[in-house]
Amino acid sequence: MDAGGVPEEIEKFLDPRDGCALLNSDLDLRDIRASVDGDADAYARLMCRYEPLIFMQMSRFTRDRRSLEELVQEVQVEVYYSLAKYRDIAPLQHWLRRIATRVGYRYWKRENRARKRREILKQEWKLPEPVAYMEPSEAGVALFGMLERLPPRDRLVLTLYYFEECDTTEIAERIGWSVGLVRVQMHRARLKLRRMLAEAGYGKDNL
Amino acid sequence: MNDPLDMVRELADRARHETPPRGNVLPRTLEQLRQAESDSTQRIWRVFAACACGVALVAAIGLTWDYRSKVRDPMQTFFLSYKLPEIYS
Repeated sequence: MDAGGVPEEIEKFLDPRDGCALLNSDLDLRDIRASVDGDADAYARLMCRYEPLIFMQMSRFTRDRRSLEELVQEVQVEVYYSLAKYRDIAPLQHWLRRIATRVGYRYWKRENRARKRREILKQEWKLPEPVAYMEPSEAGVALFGMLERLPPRDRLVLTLYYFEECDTTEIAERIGWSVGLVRVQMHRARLKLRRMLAEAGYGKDNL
Repeated sequence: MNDPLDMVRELADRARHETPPRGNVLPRTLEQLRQAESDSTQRIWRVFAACACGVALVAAIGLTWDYRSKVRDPMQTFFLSYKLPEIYS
């Protein structure tokens, strides 16, 4: 991240990926305490600050606008009921990301049970255009469509790995799995993805 | 032969520059939370009312029973001890 003008002593407390604070501000802590005591306005202030982060995170789980808003709402409600359990030992945004990942994964599992994935698998999958000419949004749709064809567990680790740039330790932390399990899952998921792409004709002369 | 996962990585590098979607679902959430709180208050009152009705019913049955044991039994005793001997005598 380009932290242009941010003093060095502050810059080290910023997340290089999104520039959000890695430490909770006094404002956050005050609002958290007030929210736990039942102050709805404090909760609204807190969520206003973090809603873009939650939107961004949940857009990795669905591309449908309506479902996206439902998911963001689900996260906000879960945050409200879990705030009392929040301990100020980790930055709030990490805690929010963990909740968002859990909600998103649950959504995928629900979709999987509803056999939506089978319908997706029946649809013809179009190979993306040469990546070099793609707009970021087109690339996002293409990658989403590609990972959508994998089972939820594989899709989750690869989404966090590719979209969110998380390493195995971070993925384990967010999902609540062990690092070993994440490594095994990641290996299997990558094999499946490679096989899927090879079957679709990728890896020969498309690049 | 290229590794197809290189293409995936390249896609991801581009996708990360995507503008995140925006929206404002907070008012809906707050409304839902208020509704949930009001529902839970109503539920507590309903449970309380049901418990009160139950206690009142049990008390009424107990009191009736007690009344019957105190009032009717002496009557029965009265009839058995005074009237019956008179009848059969």
